[in-house]
Amino acid sequence: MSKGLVLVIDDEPQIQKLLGVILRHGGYEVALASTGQQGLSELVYKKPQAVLLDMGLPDMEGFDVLLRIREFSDVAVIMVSVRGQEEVKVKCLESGADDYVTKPFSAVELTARLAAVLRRKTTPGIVDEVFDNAGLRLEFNTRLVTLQGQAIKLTAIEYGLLIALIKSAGRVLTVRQILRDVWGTDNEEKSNSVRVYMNHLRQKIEEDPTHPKRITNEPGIGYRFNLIS
Amino acid sequence: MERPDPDAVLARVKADDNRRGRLKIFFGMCPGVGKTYAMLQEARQRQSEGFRVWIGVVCTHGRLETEALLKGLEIIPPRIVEYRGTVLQEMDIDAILQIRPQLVLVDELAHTNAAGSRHPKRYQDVLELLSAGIDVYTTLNVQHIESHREDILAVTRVAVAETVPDTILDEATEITLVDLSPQALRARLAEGKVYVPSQAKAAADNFFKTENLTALREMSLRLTAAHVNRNLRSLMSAKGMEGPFKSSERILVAVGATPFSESLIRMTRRWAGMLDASWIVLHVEGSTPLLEIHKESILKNLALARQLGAEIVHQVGDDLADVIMEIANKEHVTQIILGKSPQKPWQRWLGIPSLADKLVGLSGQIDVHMVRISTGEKSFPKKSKQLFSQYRFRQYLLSLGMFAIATLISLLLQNFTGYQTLGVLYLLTVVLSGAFLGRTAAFMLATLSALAWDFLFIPPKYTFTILHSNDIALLVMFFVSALMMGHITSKLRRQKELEHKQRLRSEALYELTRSLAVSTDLSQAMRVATLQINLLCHSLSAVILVDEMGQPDLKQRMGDPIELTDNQEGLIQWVVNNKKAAGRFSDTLPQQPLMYLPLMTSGQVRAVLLIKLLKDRPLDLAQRTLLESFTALMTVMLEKDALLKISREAKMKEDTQNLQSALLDNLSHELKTPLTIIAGYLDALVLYHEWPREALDLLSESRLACLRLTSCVDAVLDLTKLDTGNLKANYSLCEVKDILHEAIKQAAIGTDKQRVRMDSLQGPLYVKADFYMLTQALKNIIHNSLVHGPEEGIVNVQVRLMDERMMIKVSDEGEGIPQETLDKIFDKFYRGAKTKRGGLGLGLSIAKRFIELNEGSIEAQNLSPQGFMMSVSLPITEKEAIEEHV
Repeated sequence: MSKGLVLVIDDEPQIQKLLGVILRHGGYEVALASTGQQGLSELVYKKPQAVLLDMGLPDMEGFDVLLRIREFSDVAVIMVSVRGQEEVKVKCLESGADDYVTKPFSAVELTARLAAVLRRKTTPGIVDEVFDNAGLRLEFNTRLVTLQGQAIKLTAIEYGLLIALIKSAGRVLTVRQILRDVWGTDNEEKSNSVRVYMNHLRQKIEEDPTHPKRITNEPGIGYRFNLIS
Repeated sequence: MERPDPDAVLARVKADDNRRGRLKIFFGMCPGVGKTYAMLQEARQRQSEGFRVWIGVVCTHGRLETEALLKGLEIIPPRIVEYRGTVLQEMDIDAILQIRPQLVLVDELAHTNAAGSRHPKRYQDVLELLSAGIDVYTTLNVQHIESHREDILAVTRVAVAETVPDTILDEATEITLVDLSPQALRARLAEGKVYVPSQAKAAADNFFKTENLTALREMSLRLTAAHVNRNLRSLMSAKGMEGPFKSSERILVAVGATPFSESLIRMTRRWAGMLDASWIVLHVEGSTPLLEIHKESILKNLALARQLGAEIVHQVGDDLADVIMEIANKEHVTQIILGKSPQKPWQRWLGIPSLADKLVGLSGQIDVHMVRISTGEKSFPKKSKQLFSQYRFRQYLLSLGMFAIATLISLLLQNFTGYQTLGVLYLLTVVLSGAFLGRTAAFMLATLSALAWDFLFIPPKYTFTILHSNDIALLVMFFVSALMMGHITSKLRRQKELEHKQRLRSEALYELTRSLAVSTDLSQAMRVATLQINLLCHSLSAVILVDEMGQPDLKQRMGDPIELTDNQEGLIQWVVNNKKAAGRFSDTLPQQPLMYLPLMTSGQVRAVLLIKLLKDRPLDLAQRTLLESFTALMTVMLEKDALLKISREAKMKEDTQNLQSALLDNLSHELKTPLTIIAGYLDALVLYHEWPREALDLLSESRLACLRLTSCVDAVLDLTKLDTGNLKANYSLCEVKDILHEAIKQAAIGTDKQRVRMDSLQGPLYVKADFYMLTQALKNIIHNSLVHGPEEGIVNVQVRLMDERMMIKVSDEGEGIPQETLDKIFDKFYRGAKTKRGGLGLGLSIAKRFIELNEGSIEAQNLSPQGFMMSVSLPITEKEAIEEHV
């Protein structure tokens, strides 16, 4: 049983082939496109569940393709990038990309990202009344947070942060997205607050705060809340 | 090791160069108060503090206490000059510049140097020492200050020949008043402590009278107080950068050729000093040609004004009041100063308003001050002399000629026409004479004509008697209208002449501006400018460009080929260094045949203009003002050229940067795509297929090699970006453990991860840094330890706070490196002698540069008995600063 159709938009035939192998082994069907234009029309005709979009295409920039996609579709989009394009990555994430992978990526990493993004797309919002992952438990009605059965006291901002992270579990959130979600502001100057509160939260919900596992930093981008299996 | 940034070094050197020496003046009311003594005492104090103090010149006048102070101070030997049989000793400025003491003592600032010295006056030597960055102590008496000369004369009846301009007081960083009461001074005089006894008596009687001394003392006290006051004000507004003048007052004084103008200029300077105002000296050139002697005295007055720090404005026009008001309004003058000149009685009688009346009527918001001018011993050259000047003489001769011709024609015509018509002929002659020969000639002709007409033609002939009363009326009317016509036509002529002069000036300027505007390059523009200068001054001229380092480019000379001796080339360098004109008509080496004028933009000499006059005659006023306008235009040209060059370079740099950046992106893509593909396929092979154990090992190894190659490519790219300036730091608040986790994740591949132990303080620790750079730096350091430590050895990463800084220590249990190569490990491509595995030798070099870009430092040391440690020190962000953000 297929997990869904993934459209790969990349001009390198070998990368296309590689992604094809990894995706098929991960249980997905694959459609291929070599240019931005072709990708857009494939998207219209084949209606895939997710798109892997390269940042640099021969006819247009990946970012522009993303903007065109978002004009008519809310399909899951993962950007494929190289190192050192942090600014562009942040721009993409804030313009509607769901996540990104950096070349060279590992097969495990890619499929995990894809799964997280698709899960969020298929179950929008929080349906469950309780979040429970590897000893961290949150009851949304009562706002009760426990770690390995012990109740944790969180401040309003820390609780807000945790909710925002859980809602996007497995996915990267940019600092600005967090600012908008939790602080309700676009003011970049407050971005240091995000870093400071994120560390406060880590002290409370990580088993070993010096080796954080749940909340990891994405250099130059933001934070990711990992589900521990 | 990182080399020091050459630009920074250069800036530092320049700043040192630009440091101007400090001038301290020991100031007194008259000789004998102990200025030299005070100066020497203070100099000894400086010397004991470790300053290099030398004596440039000190005159002890044989005073014993003063001579005693000389002991232990080093003296620069004087220059021996022979002048008309006498041997003189002068301060050796070249020797001082060569020795370059930190502080030099130069006694008697107002001294006049022997003829043939570099500068005519000693204070000019001092100014040069100051611009060379040498501190100077000097002594000065109040009577030697230029603007006080007249007062001194009035008080003491002693004319002072040696003066220094008032601006030298502004130059002084400090003025110390050496004060002594008149009684005490007279007592010292009586004891013979001031002059040698034989002279003492005569001197005391003439100069050292108690009332003289009291007046001089008051003057010196007031001057010192004014200086202190000004210093305070300039200190207070030092940060404001409001320009040199703090008050908004602007004073204008109109001067002419009169000797009173000199006092007027001095007085205005003092006034401007008190008000802290800028001041303008205006000279209005009328249409009447000036006598040589007047021209000289105007030039002298204007030179004095320039020396005293005035702004000089030169304007052509006949109506003095109108011109003064025009300039006053244009220059935003707030006060006008006028010398009170007595109005001529007939003018008062006719009700003709005086200049002062007119100005008061026109001045509006501007204050007009009338100043009484003491009619001193000097007298203004009388008009009578003017009557017989060569120029006038020719005019009178010509008008006499015209008169003779008119009379001749009249004699011929008298038989055909009535005598009345002849009057009209005479009138015509007067008009012509007024139009071409000037007013005086016309008036003379009018009188002569009236007399001749009466004598020769009006009946009865050959007598001055007139029979008919209407003939009397005719003659009177003739005379009056002749005078009026003469006056009006001569005035018209003068106006035309003025316009012509003005037009010539504007045309010359316009011509230069136009030629400059169409010149395509600097050398063409400069050639055009030198041509115009040659036309103006009857000279040869050339422009020598000066490069950014202040070196004149002697080979590239624009304009006429002027041969230069070594000394002259040296003088060009002097002009560049001192930012002052030199050579002919200047203060420095005026006996030189060439004029050396600096062309300056924003405080730097960009070029030196050489002018060789073909006739050795001083330039007149019009030539000088035009020359100034020319040089101003040339300066604009130079500035334009410099700006063009800068913008061109900036554009080129930007283009190169963009190209490099695009190239690097491309390179990065081309190198990494195949690596991604290989690593990905290997990954897929391991994950999705069954392999014998041995094959699985090979595949994993290949994958690791591939990752290593990737990080190698990253390192090379990072370094290239650093070197070409394509990597910009992006600072934000970073948590150190985040950085370390990322660094360890990237550094330790496979099982190496277990070899890294992190030991950090509890709680978050923040630094302001570029996350990427710091991660790469620490990754490289940790990777280095993993590689060079023993195979299964542990790498400890320790985070501590020490002295307000964060210390990250990475240590391994390896053998370390030989002590002597410790400082080499951060060099590019340096690889230790026993380096086991591959690597480019770039990792630590990159790490060091990244850390330094984040205001950190890195050190390496061997541990005893075994091990090697690298310590990174970073500035921490204070708790308060973090909480501010929250």
